[in-house]
Amino acid sequence: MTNLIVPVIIIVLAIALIFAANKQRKKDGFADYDERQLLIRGNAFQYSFYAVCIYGTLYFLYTRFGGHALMQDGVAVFLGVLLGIAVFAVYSTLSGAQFTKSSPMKAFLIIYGIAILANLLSTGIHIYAHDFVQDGVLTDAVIYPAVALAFLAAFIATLVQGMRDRKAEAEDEDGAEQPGDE
Amino acid sequence: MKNLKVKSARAAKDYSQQELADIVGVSRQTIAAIEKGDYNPTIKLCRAICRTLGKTLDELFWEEDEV
Repeated sequence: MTNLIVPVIIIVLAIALIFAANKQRKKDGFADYDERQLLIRGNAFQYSFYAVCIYGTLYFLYTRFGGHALMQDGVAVFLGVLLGIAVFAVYSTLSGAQFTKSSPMKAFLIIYGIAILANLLSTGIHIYAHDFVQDGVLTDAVIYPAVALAFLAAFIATLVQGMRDRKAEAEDEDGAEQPGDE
Repeated sequence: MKNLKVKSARAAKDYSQQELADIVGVSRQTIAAIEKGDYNPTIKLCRAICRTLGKTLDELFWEEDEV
């Protein structure tokens, strides 16, 4: 029973934080996302939820019928959450609903780049220590390459969207018709 | 269906997508999506665009062949 106290406290605190953040966000007017961006972010949230559900189901089936756990429970949960966040970020970015004037693309690219490098560095340390697998299951060391991969996906999506934006802006300034306009 | 009326009204005022977006308070991609017909704006945004471009809702957003 005492083992449950810490997780329960964490869950209660997390729920309280989410409610507080949501209240503040409503007061602030949802950052400065416009109506289309809010709509797309709603869809992105939906897709990220589906991705987590699919991941959870597949992982459950694997551990239930595969005979043994693939990774430590906490790691499995973390990777599921990470997958959801990555799907949300990539979908929002590629749909032009991730960046606003107060959160410009360049700032995100720098943050993503730093996160990739930091996690690759940690991955290297764990590769050197040979501690990715313990007693036949993946340890929390796999979190670092997974986080690096998630940020890399977001980074690439940001670059792709940046190129699309620049192309569209150039075509707009030239007054040229965009491909397939007519 | 592409909204060429918004595009031509914007061009007539010599606004870029970014300039119009800044005035009406949305992202450039949202203006591009409206012009390409990928996004149906709310009436609030339609009115803001109309006011900025000096047009009526009918002139910019009414399609004669729509039911």
